[in-house]
Amino acid sequence: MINFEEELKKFKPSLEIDKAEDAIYQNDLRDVMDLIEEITKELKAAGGSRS
Amino acid sequence: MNCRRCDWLLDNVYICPHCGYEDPVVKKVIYASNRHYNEALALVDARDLSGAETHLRQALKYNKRNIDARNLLGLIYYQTGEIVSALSEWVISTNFRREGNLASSYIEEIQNRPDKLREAGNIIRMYNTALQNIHDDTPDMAIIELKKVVNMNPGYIRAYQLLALLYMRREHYAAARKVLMKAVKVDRNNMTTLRYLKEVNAHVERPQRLRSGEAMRISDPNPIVIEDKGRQGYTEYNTGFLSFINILIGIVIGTAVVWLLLVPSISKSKTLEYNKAVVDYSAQLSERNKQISDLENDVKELQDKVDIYEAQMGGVSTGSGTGGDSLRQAVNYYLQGNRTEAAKVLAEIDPAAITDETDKSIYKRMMGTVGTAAAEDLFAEAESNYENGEYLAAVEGFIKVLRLDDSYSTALYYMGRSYHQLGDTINAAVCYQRLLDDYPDSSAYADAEAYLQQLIKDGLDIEAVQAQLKKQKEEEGSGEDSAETTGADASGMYADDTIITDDSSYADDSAYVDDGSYADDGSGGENVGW
Repeated sequence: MINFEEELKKFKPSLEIDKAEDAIYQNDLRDVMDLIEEITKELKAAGGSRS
Repeated sequence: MNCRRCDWLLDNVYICPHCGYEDPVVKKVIYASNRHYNEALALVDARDLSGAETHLRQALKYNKRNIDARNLLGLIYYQTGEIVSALSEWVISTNFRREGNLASSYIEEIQNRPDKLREAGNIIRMYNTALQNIHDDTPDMAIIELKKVVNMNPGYIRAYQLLALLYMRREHYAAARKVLMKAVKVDRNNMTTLRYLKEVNAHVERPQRLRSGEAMRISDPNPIVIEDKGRQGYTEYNTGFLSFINILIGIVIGTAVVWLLLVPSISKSKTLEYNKAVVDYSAQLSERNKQISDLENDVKELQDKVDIYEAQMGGVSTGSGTGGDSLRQAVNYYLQGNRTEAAKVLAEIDPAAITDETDKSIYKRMMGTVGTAAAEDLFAEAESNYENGEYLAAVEGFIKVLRLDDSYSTALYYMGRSYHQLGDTINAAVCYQRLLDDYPDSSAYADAEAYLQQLIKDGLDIEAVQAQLKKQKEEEGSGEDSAETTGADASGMYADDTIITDDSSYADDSAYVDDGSYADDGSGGENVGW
């Protein structure tokens, strides 16, 4: 059985077109490659400090 | 990500274009991203946009530079009505790669169509208004707005879902199902849509479809239909009264159709017939009017002739009808010393009408006594009438003059002129001819001859004139006794210079007599005797 009030709460207002720029900036663009690169850098940094 | 050997930027490649190093980790990541992209493509082909979106997001989580995946995600957003999200993805895509990127053309196409962009903005605004209406507890307004939204953008999944949810809350499950089915056509495996549809189906009984074979199969050729007494809904309306109303409506509609379609054509044809009849009647009327005009002209001509005859006959009848009384009246005038009046009365008397011998003797003596003297006055009066153009009266006067005194050749001449003026050429010619015959010494001889020659030249009916002269001659012969009573002697008057003559009967006979009259011989001549 659907709870209508809960379902209605799931519907959020759509972004207006003039606010598309904000949406672009708020987009989280980090991907797996970024994580790998970050990890690689951290590993390098850790190896350097150990040596 | 940069090359781990030379730190060169690896743009969606796992082999460094600078040093040629193949990074196995990057290779696996790119492969994973591409695999999700391929999955998404397959789902898009199957119209599972939600599933495709999930895979494309996953692909971009692995590799944010997967341009194809990002562009496709933008297209899916665009298809489902999420314009802003679509634009965001395409802008990011072009930010990663500007050359040879389809996203650039997508953005350009939208920017080149400001009306489309404005419409998309309006749709988003209406959707947000609907949401606000729901929060303001005015779901009716929200439904109206959402209907407009799905009409303007039939791919707006969220609007379909929200509209269906509002219907479901009102327990309008059929309407909700209809809306959700439209959403399913856009995105087949949208979880929210399917969940709502499941809820709706739980409340709505699906119509049981019979298989085609079963629907047509009739085991009993004469099935007995048992009416369901529990459901009175249909039979309540199927009454005789309702049938009567339906028939009445049909008759009214039929009458209206006849009135609108047939009556104008019938009236038009009647009008055409009427106009044709009017034209025919007008033509007939015109012809009749022409005939009437012709007949009126004929009547007028005949009336003129009748007037002429009556004028001529009037003198005769008056004289003959009152012969005895007029004679006595003339004697009285004479005894009273009024010779002029006595002569006028005598001139009115037709000598042939006097049968009594005593009266004849009195008439003879009276004429001898007063006739010559009165002739002058009568001649003057007749001449005056002639000069005044009263030719009929003039003819009558000249006849009287000649009765009183037959030596008045000028009276005969003017009588011919009067007939000539009246158009009676035959009697005119008779007068001229008789003047030529009887009065060779007359001062009007030359004129009479000239006029007679002119008449002949103008096509005078000579035979008719001859017949008229002959008839007069015969009548004068028969009335010789009367001539004797007047003392008129016309012997030798028919001279040898007769212009019109057909026999010798004119040569030696007497001239006209006072009671002589030449009647119409049927050739157009008139009775002009005196």
